[in-house]
Amino acid sequence: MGILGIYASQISGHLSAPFDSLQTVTVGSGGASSISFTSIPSIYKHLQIRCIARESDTNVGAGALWMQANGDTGSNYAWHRIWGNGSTVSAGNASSTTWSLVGINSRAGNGSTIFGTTIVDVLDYSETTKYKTFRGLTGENPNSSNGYSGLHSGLWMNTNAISSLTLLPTSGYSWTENSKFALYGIKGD
Amino acid sequence: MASTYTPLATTTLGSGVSSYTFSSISSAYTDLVLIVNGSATSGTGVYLRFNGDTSSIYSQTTLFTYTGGGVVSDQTTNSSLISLTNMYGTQMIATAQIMNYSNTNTYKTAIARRGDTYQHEGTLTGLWRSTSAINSLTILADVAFNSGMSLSLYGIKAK
Repeated sequence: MGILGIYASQISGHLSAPFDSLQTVTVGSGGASSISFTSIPSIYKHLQIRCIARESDTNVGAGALWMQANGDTGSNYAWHRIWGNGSTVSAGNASSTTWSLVGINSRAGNGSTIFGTTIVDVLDYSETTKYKTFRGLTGENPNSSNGYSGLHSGLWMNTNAISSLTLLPTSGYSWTENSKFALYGIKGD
Repeated sequence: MASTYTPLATTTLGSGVSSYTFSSISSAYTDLVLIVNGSATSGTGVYLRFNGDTSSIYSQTTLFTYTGGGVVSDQTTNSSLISLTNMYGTQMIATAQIMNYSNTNTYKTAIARRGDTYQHEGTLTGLWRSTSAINSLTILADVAFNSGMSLSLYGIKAK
């Protein structure tokens, strides 16, 4: 049986078009303040980032997964999210920011073997007629009341094709060893 | 270029089946994607279990909306399986992404989108507190799946 087609726009990671692995970054023992995917070819229709991530914050709970495009440090981003922590549902948003919150990671205080997971879709990333939209499915669960399950959306207010993406944890912290980030390209018809 | 997103196995269940196991899962991939599409006996929950492990080392956090309930979040800790959804004889679909399933440095986390025509639509994050590579995946129902329940497993391989 072949790969099934796309059921609905809400389901990340399930596709009918060719799906290519482009770059993978695995954080080593020294940690990393950020990771970047560079020289992204423009030949695909969409991009997808699939990651497991943990930051050096020794508190428990969820840390941030921030994303920036093409090294643009201007206030050209926005984001929204809805999430649950196992008892409470919350929502948040920000506009004219310098990064987009596309997901979360697991803080080091949750334990060295627990990682947050995120799938980010970057839609029409090489279209020069559109601003760029991000969509994230994300969560972490440390077998406690400090879990997170949520949906994020983001915007980069720039019509340039995306050629690089940078991922950053909560300010002041770094990605820990064994965090892994994989970039995929998705072809259109 | 070698295939990155590969169908591994698929099955369509007959009537009266209460569980199905994808076994001998290759460790060659990075992530697994499980798609569950069908219905089950009224009052049935649908669950996941890894490597046949029945110990109480599963947990989850959910976010979902249901008829008359608004948007809610719940959690389980120290459970013997991950609950994908609670069905009431209705059609459901769930896509579970099991990330870095063969990574022996990490516990295993799955994130999923799920919904059914009775009441639930939402997400979940599940944890299996084991660093073992996942080599089997069992989908279970409290009572039984209805004939036509489709289960599909895919592997995604990173460079």
